[in-house]
Amino acid sequence: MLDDGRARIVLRFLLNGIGAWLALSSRLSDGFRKQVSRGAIIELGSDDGVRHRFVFDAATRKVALGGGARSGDPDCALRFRSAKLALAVLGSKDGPRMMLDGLGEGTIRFEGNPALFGWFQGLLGAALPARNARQPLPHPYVRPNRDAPHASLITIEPAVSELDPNWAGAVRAREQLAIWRAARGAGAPRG
Amino acid sequence: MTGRLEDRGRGWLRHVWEKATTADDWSSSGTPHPWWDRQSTAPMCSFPRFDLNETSYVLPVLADLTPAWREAYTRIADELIGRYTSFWAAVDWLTLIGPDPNVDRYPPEWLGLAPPHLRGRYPLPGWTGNGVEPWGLQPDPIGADGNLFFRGFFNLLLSVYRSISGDEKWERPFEVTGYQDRPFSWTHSRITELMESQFQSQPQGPHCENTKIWPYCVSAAGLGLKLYDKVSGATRHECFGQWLEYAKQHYMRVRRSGDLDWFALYYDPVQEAMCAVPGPSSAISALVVTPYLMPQDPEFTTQLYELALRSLGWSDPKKPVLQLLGDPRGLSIALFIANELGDEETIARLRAVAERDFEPRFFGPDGDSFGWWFGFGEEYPRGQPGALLALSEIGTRGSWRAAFEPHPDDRFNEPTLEGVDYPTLGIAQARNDRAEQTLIVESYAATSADRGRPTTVRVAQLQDPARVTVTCDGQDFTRWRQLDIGRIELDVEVANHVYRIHTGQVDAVPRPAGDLAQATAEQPVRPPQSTPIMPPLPGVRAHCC
Repeated sequence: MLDDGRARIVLRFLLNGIGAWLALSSRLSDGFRKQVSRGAIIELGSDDGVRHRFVFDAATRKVALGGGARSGDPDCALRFRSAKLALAVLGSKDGPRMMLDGLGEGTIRFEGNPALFGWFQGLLGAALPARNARQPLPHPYVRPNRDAPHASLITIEPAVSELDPNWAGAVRAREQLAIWRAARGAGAPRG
Repeated sequence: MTGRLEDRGRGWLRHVWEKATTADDWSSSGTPHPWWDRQSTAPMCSFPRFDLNETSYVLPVLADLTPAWREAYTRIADELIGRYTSFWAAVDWLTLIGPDPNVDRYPPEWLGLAPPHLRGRYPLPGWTGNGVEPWGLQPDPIGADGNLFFRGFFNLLLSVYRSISGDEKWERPFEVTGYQDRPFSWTHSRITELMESQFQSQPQGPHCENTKIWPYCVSAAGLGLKLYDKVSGATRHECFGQWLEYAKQHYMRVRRSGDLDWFALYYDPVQEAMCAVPGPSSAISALVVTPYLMPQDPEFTTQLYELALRSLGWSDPKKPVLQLLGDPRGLSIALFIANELGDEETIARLRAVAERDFEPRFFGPDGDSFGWWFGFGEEYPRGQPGALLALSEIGTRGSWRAAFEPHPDDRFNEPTLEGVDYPTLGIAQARNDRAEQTLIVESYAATSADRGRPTTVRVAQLQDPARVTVTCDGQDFTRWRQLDIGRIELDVEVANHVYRIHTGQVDAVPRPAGDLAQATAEQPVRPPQSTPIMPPLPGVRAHCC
């Protein structure tokens, strides 16, 4: 069992290691960089003195080495009451459950947008060697069945790769959609 | 159900009426009025049709609350359907064409909606991808291999209309706007025919987008078929059981401890990828199917609800109710289902959060309307989560399930209130007491500024108007007259009153033969486009104000 001082040392070491690994991954993996779709600062720390910033750069889609120099409030900060608790949660298979309990008890708290932490967790996964996440299920439907009884009710035309640019009303309508606007920097709507 | 419409329910109905009956342009050259919710639960639900169908859910519950007055609900449903046939209802299928060009440009918080190994190179939920291989361009938003997200909810809305009105209007051919504004002709029954066949031939479930299969959307499609069977006597819903068993086996996992491990957001059979949010957040994916599964399989759905709430800690009185995602949908649904099940302890916990955080308030001239703003600082109440919360305000224990079962009364043939000048005059109660042979009507001023103004209402489907006697607030009431065979008209006041109309009749008046048959005549239906009230079909009285 670690005492408080050693726990802080181990947590610092762990977060530095994660930072270095993310920084390296962002330089080596195109798949990783595709997920860095915005600039952001994610901060993990404990109330007993540990703090590490992970700085994601939008222009290069890379993670800054050594925590980076970008200052300002983090977009998302996860703070544990102690380094010991942080290690217990981050190292547990039941981490999400422990996190929820800690949030309820007030021993863990989010500042900023907690949804960004989910993204950060996804990047940690992306930095690890790819796992086979395929889960084939029986009876897949993967191409149109022209022999199905309902086939006559479905109109199929040749595949197209983009919206007809001459359909002006549709192009204008698409510009108003949250999904289209968000991909162009408008951000996700609230709720 | 023998309750009455209370203040918040009255205010919500007033708001929904204004939304539905105010003309706006949903064609490709227009834009829906901003009070139609195009923001909630982005990216997959941030399209205005989700507001259309969710707004309709309260209507059958209201119809059970005032079974002898349904014309306002019918009008609202009709206006919702009219919009649902338009370009903007299918705007995703008609404009998000081909491979998603933005796969690596979405906000980070959305990337968690893709399977982990595909993030940054996979179309996110909401990008319907019409036109991609191998499906090709499918220009009809209904007649498509995918897009159950459109037709499944549309069938539910159509079935709601028929359930509250008894009217087969949408069994006549009507047009739906397709790609490049091409019209496609459908009838309600042909939509259900397509859905049944897809369910039968695709055990995994029909595709909701291209190519994702969402338990959320497939469950809603099943509920629409169940309601269609109720109103039509068909047996289309039988195919749903096969999918539900498949879903229990493949789209969720419960740990040995009895806790929910995960519940699928969706499954992509082309990528062979399951997308399930890890940890307690997965419980939200389970919660969102519960309104749809509850009337179809109450036992399983109750278990799912309990698993989800336990996972989130929402049913544990020792824990605070936390909402991590910033989306009120999960808690709104949990409160709706807690209310449906009569889970009083959870109702109290969740309602306290909703009252504190969801900004419920009356608004409009004289505060006659009601909605929830959710702290978003917007001009209008948020539509989608508000519509779900309204069910916990207006519904009572079991009222949602009852809405999908055969009516306990003969409401389409019993004495019925009609010609009410809503939203000037509102109706809080309207039901036939068979034992007393009396139609009980409670009125209120739905528009406060018109309080005290005179108006009229009619009672139709009377066997013998000569036998009618009326009291108002316990006093004899004589300001009424016989209009014609089977109908009387009352001079009333826009105010709170209780009328007891003793009809002296036990049996309902059968509708004339051919009434409904006329509704399937050759003439195509024209959607209402939110302007004047649709002319009633011949002989169908419960249609309009």
